[in-house]
Amino acid sequence: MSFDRFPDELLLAILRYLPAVDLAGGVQTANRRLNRLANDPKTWHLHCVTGFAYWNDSERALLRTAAINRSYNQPWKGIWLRRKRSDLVCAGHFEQILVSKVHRNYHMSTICSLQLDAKDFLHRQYRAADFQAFRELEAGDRGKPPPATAVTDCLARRYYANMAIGSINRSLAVEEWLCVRRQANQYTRLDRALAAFDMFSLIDVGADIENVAKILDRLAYSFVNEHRIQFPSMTVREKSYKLVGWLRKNNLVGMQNANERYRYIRNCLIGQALTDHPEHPSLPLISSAIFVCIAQRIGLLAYCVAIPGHVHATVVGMPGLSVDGRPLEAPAEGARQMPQQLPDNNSRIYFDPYRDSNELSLQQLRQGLDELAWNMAAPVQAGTVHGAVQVVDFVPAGADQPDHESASEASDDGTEDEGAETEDAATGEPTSIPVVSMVSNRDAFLMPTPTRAIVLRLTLNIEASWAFAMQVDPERSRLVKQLHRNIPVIRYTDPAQADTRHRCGSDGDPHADMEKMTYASAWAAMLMRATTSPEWEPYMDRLLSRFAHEFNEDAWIVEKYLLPIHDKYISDSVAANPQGRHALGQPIPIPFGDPAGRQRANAWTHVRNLLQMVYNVDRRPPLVSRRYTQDICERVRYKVGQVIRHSRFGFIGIIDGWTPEDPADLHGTVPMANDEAAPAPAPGHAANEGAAYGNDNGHAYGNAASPPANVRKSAFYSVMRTGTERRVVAQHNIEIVTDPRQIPPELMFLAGKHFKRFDYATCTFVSNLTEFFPDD
Amino acid sequence: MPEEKAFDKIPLQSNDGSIITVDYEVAIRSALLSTMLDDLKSMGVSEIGPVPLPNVNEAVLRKVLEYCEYHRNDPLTNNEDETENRKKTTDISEWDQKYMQVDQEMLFEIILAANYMDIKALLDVGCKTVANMIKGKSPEEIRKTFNITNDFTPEEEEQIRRENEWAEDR
Repeated sequence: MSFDRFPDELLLAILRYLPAVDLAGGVQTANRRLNRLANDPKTWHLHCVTGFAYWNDSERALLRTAAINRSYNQPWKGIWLRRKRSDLVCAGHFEQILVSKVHRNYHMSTICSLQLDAKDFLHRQYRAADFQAFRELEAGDRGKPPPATAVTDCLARRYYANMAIGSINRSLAVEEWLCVRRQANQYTRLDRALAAFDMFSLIDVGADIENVAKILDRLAYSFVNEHRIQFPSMTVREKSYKLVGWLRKNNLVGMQNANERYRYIRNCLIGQALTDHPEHPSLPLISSAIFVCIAQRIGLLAYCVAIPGHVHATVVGMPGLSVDGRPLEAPAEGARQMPQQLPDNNSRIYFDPYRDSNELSLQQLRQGLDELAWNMAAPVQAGTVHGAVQVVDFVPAGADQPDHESASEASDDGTEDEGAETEDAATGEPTSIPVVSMVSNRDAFLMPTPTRAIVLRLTLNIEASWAFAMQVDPERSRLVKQLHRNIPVIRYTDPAQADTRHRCGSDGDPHADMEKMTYASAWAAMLMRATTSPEWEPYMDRLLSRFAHEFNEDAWIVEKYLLPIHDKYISDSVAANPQGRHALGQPIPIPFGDPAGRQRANAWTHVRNLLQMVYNVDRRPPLVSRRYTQDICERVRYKVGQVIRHSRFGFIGIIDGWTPEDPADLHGTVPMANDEAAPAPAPGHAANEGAAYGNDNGHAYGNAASPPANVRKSAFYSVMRTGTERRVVAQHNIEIVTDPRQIPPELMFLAGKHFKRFDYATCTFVSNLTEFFPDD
Repeated sequence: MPEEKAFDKIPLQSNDGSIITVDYEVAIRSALLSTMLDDLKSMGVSEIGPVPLPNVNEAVLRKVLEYCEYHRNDPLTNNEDETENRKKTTDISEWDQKYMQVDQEMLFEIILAANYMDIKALLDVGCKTVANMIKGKSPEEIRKTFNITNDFTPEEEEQIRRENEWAEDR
């Protein structure tokens, strides 16, 4: 039996076992027959499916068709080659990110612009195993060689891959919100718009937008399947009841133990509610949204209703029919002129899936609104809608007494603001309604709420959670940890784990997650508002300052998606207000008005300037600190990469910079890309000892106006730690840590920003900062 | 199980006439034989003469049965969907690797026989072995390994190479 006489069918079976690189490489150039067999589309389809998990929209559609029709006649090989090529592009840029601070942001943007095409590559980098750890741990074992993925700079790889994945996910969320923005006051895409918030927090394979939609599909399917016998004959009302009951029975809505948990940030996330927790806790808004999304999938006309205080759900009867399937009486004459007044004719029913499975009558809801209006009359009339930001800040204060009522009221932080938004939506006019009219117009609150307003409402909830977390627990650890209940943090010490049970994107740092969620709410709050909204600018401010401080890697997102909107805003304001006054009478500080406003505008609110600033920082060559002189060598006792404990505050940190003398130097020299972007550190910005000698937080010298001369000579170090910004620590406060077990895992992850890997033997981190500190 | 007693030993006849008798457990490694024996059983047949295997010669049959003998106690998997998963791994157990150390002609014969007799596990091992011979090789090395002639013109070869390029170093 020779190769030539060997049947095609079996040769094809053999080729299926070959890696795609061999098929595209040697095999198909060997001879015509092998070339033909190596181009079998089914084999290539298999390689596409097994080789890549993430696909851009068009290709995902092709894959779905192929799976359904079991036909593989698409050019799968070409698709595979395209993906392989973009992997290589990514790899090139990624190496540059690892090597140098210069142009890091540029390379990051290039990778991230590939979006889903880059994600598979980045996930592989994220799972990089530590070569050294493998050698040490496995050496005694079986002499197993390190896997091919093992690298000597795994911390840096994980850190920057995670950063890029985060940025890509955020861009997908932003795209989703832009769709909602474009569709103005529609009710569609609710599930996706809410799932977009998940994209900011977990960079998890399981909880992305597509998956939330899939989970809802599945739930809708199993609901219908369980009730398939009665289902066709059920009325709208019966179906709705059945669904609420089913959701509550399966624990998919509502929250147990709400007194304690109401303000956990995870409750704001629909993906979290659907996947991670056995009890699926969620806010009323999310509970209603889950009901609505499934109801829509089973063919009901269901909507969220953003009633102040509590988001409800409504189901409307089929056109011309009541919810019981009877014909509706023709609307009385004049009803058309007063759309706010809802007829009480069973054309719609209301539920609160969060609380129970009974329907609420219009009368009950109106009564609730009246009470709310009277309760709120005093504070609300005092402030304008513009004061909503303050409301967000003060309401959680009332949540001090952890009883359910106050907690659910706290969800209403921005009630009047919401009212304004709802009204906006209903009338399509960007006006805010005075509160007095709320009573007469109360039925306007009982109308279906467009997706845009629901998303806005969620941003207010996130802000409330944030404020509450800050108040209860300034370190923000306890509350936010709930988000990570089921997510194992990758342990550095266990390389095997990195290959298997990891859940990407969770660096396990609660502080970072809270930041991400507030960042998400800043984006959503921007994108859901019209540029004419008086809130536009404060939110723009907030978003940009977060971007500049913590999310420089999103420069490409800002440029691609926010800049066009911002430019339009500027040109609109210029056109509409040559005198520099806003249509609503609000002064606009961009780029007119008083000199201070103009300066501020130039520094912060002008997106272009800010982007330019970020890009400049990215281009700036590193400033080198060398140990030239004997004097420096003697005075700077410790090195970059050493693990320290603060002798008085006890926190663990890693030295990532030093200066022989003046701690102020550390601001310029330490390559904190994010920090650097800030145009100038505000006086209170650095709670660093030494940064300001008289600073109360500058613990080293207490309140002394100036330090003793001999102390001034001591060296200072910048120290990387979790939870807060880096700190400057004086040399005499440093205790060197030699036990690796004392390093918190969050810090181990964070270390990737400046370090390549961790060396167990010496308990130090291997510096990736040689551009700055070549002698360390 | 009285019927199974009847099929205690199964005589198999190769295409060159020799008869090899094997245990029932060994024979049913082959899905072909397993189905056939099931059919006979259901027809009430209790005694069978030599089963002809016209596509397999004696040497190959002995080799194949050696594999079946060794793996007689393995769980039988007939799950078709599973193949997609197994395609991913090219790991071969130590015994199987040794077993597959035969000349190329025999290797192909084994694969053919495994395909004909429908012995899934053996077919997989055979295909994996050949795949491992191809893996990482240049076109020229592949041609040499399998003694095949290059029927491409240099221009054609260059064009294919260019079309499938995804990295400069390939």
